[in-house]
Amino acid sequence: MFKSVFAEKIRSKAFLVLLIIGIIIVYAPPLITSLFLPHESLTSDAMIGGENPVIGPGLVLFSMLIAAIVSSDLISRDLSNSSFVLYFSRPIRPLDYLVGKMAGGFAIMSVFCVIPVIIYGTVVIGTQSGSEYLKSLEVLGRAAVAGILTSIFFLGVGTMLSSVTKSRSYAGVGTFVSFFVLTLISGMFQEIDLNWRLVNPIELLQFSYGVIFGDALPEELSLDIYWAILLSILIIPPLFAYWRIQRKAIGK
Amino acid sequence: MEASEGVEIRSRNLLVRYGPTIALDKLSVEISSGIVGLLGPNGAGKSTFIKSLLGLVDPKSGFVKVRGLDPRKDYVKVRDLIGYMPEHDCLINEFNAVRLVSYMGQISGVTSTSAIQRAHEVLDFVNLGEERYRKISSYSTGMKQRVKLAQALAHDPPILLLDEPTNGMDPAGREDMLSLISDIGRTGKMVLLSSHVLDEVQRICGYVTILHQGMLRGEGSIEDLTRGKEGRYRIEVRGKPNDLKAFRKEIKSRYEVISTQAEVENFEMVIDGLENGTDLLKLAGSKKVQVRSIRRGRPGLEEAFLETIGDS
Repeated sequence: MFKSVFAEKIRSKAFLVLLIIGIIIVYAPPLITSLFLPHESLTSDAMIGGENPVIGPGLVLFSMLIAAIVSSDLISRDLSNSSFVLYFSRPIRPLDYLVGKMAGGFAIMSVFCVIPVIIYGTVVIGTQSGSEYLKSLEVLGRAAVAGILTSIFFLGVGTMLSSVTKSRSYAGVGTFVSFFVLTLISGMFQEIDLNWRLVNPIELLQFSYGVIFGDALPEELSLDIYWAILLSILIIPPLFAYWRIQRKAIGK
Repeated sequence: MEASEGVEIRSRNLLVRYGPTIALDKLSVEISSGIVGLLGPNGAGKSTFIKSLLGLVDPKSGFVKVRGLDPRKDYVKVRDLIGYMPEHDCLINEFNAVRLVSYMGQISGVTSTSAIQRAHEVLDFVNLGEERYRKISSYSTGMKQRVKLAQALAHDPPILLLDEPTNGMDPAGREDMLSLISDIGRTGKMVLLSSHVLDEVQRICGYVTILHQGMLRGEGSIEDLTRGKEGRYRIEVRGKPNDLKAFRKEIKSRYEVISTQAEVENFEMVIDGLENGTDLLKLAGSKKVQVRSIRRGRPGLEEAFLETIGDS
């Protein structure tokens, strides 16, 4: 199932277009800068700081769009053409089905969120003038973790929405709109309590990138609330999708 | 519970509800190997019974077992034994037939290389030629039915559940499909053929189970079900119209008439309660009509089916 999802999505025109535009906008500028400016090592600042961070709002925005495209028909298509029953007449469990679908989706998301990050980091390390390769590799490792987090963050929500509708369009638009609504809610309530900033998916991911690279959260934010919101977004959507699949699989 | 010898499927007091609707009403049935017809009008519970064999429905009480295994608990093992051809459209339209069949094989645990090889074998078997490389969305209903059968065979299961396999097919396609199912039956696989087209079932099944309103209404071999009742005869009579009328009137007063097909100078009648053919011949002689044949009145499967669900 993983291979099938990956093989199908990687040939999708919409994905390829977004991938190319995303790479040009998100990865090309920092790569060009690094190639032409002398540097001693790969630094956290090159990854999440500066004017053109590799892991920044651009990555988040394009990941959101790509997740909407990738996850929109992961499950909804099987619901709309009733092929669900073909899967569940086979010796697979609902969990196998969900993991297979999400693993395929994750692999596709990684093509934008993880692999270019690693390529960028490798190029920078390869052209660095200093000798602290281990330090550079550590930064590269943290960057890869940030890319993986971005993939899972959006894919889970997209998969959840794909499991509640038979319409690919509703699932795709729903994924994008749900994050947009969270951003609006965050904007509306953060004057009351700054922790509402954590509801904004772009800000939440930005803070998470900081945590991955060893930075502390801003003082005005609660670490407990941060973890509660982050884990909720990572865990609840796949659990909900699993619940939906299990109900469908036993004909309820 | 252990499986009895030869019994592939067994259910006891199986109760399945969809909200307030009872789909299977304490169904107890045993189905053995061979090609078995699952008969019943629409809404009889045939598809629900098949889904319960796959563990796709949640029974409220009772149980069903496939080769002694519980489809709810051992669904991975049970589904490994079963190939399922659903009634409705369920194929992935964006795939071609080779990809779909091999994909389904792989999901069932067949390795990638073997699955492709097996896909070609079963697509050859169902007579799908070069079209197998076209997207399924461009297929006719008959071709889709063939692909549905092929995907059910992808992992070479010993039990096949075919839900209305000739649905939407033209007469030639139906013939081909029935012939394929007969061929599968000859390989030793158990085939449970759910259908409401009695003629098809009569042609290829050795045994039938009749469901109506979620309950078992009859079961037995086609031979037994269509065997004429004791005292039931089909008679063919010829004579002048007035004599025939008088003879018919006399017959109706003496026997139970099951059916009549009358023309101007002859008629055919199925009657119950005839104990002695000589009496009938004497009566015919007295009414000046000629009895051209008297034979045991074997009903068709349709007649037997209607009688079975009517009796209950």
